[in-house]
Amino acid sequence: MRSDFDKRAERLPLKVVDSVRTASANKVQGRFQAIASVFAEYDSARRQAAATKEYVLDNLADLLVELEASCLKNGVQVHWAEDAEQANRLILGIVSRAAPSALVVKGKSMATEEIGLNERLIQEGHQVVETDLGEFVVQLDDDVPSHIVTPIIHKDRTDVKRTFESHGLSPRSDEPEELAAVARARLREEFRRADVGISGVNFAVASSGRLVIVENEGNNRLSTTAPRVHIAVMGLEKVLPCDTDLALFLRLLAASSTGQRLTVYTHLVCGPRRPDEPDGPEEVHLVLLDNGRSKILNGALREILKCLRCGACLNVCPVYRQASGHTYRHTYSGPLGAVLAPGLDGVHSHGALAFASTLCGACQEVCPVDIPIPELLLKIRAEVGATPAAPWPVWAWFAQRSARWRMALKALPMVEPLARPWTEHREWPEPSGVDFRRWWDQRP
Amino acid sequence: MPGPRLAQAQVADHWALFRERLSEVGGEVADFSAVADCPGLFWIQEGLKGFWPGLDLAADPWEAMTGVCRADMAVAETGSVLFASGPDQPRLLSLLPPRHVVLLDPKQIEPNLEAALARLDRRNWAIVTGPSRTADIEGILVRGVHGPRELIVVPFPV
Repeated sequence: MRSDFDKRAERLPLKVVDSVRTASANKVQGRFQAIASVFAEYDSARRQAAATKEYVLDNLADLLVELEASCLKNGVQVHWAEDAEQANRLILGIVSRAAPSALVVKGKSMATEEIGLNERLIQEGHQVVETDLGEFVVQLDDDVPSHIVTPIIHKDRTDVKRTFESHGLSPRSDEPEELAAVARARLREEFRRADVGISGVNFAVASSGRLVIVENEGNNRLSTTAPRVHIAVMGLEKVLPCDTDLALFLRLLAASSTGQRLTVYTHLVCGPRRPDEPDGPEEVHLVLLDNGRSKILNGALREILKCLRCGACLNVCPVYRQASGHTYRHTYSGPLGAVLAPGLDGVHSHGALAFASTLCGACQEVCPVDIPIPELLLKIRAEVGATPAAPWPVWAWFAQRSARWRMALKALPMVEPLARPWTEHREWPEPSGVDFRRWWDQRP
Repeated sequence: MPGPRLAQAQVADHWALFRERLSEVGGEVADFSAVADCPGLFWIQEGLKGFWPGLDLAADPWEAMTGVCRADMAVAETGSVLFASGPDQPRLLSLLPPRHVVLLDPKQIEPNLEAALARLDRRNWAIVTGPSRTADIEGILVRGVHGPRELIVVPFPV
């Protein structure tokens, strides 16, 4: 029985499948090399990170209260949002106060994708510009990211060039270097004129109130430095106890997501510009987003809240590689998405994603915080209830009576068309020409 | 001013590792005289301008081709330079100009991330590890997408 997921995956152009497969294979390789060169004892590093995250989940409420107090002391304004609607309304309020029709520049943030912030800001008359190269292309295409770290993993250079051309940008070639230069030149003006910068948060330290944002391009630092107002949107689970926890997590995240020792920019925000400082935002806001997370915390899928959003499980997943991110129809795709999407939005809307897995376990193996993703997928499957129809009852009915069995054997070649989804990619076994009983009776 | 012998030896080790890791991420090391040879307009941190009296300064920081500032710390393990925002340390200086020249006192190099993080105070800090890069298109590495394309570290003992 083919699911909607399978059907969507089958409709993907071969070119997309090729792009995703090549890129994710390269990322797997990059991760492997980085981990080998950064960690002498990777397993113990990973166990330590998982234990820290376990501590965070056990003490989430206290740590968040501590984070709030630290942020307030640093001059950061803290807002709590129970759901997407409340978060959007809050952010909209801050943006509208900054300017009636504001220019908003954004650094890459999955949390804001999750709540559909851009559409909302645009509806209310603000202009929103995504500034990460991949996200910029996604926005021009009116598309959604197909990978949480590499948003245009499904596209190649000719696609990007075509997108640019249809929006009045004229790259001289389809070289990635040239395409990046065109985006850089175009976005410079936006950074300069922007009223508000919006970013995500990778880690927030409860004891110091430090908001940590990592990136490679510099767009995130520009977005959170040049405009007068900075709004950081963070899922509740991203809090860490102390500054000293950061080193391990920064290394794990960089190695797992992009195969680096450390990302190019690690931005440690500790508050707005001080009176004697020449630049930086005058206001810094932190929006703490629940949107289903506290429900997950108290349920069977709790451990998915340890996720760092490194994307390593997407890159290594045989299903993601074949299906690409859009097939999951959710902000979060891949193995992580197959757990987080039903966790956030309920198993009834996205529970079917739990079947988009071979349960091979590669996701858990590469997870820097050792999340038992296959186990969580099984829990969702059990809750959804409907397992795909197995052919065993049919087989049993025929196998119980020899007459039926003989009839079935004779009819077998006729049912071959039914097995076409299977045989399209595999050999249909050739019958030996004679069945066992006849061979037994006629043996010399 | 030379420090105690033991510390000096240690500093030299950190410098060698820092240098190796910096070049791994696409940064380079140059000497002091290289700064004046950079083409285009300059944005130079207050307090350093006196070292290069003849250079053309950009009236608008967004027009500068080369930014010059001091690092507030460095990490040998990762080849990173760190900047803390302050009255004479604009945050945009390490971001806007396509070429970023960093003066680093080798004594400011911490062996690893843990040691550097332990020294952070309540200012805004940026840890910069190599020039700006992206691999968003076909996984191909491109430098200088929004931040600087070149990161040049100049040893500058105080």
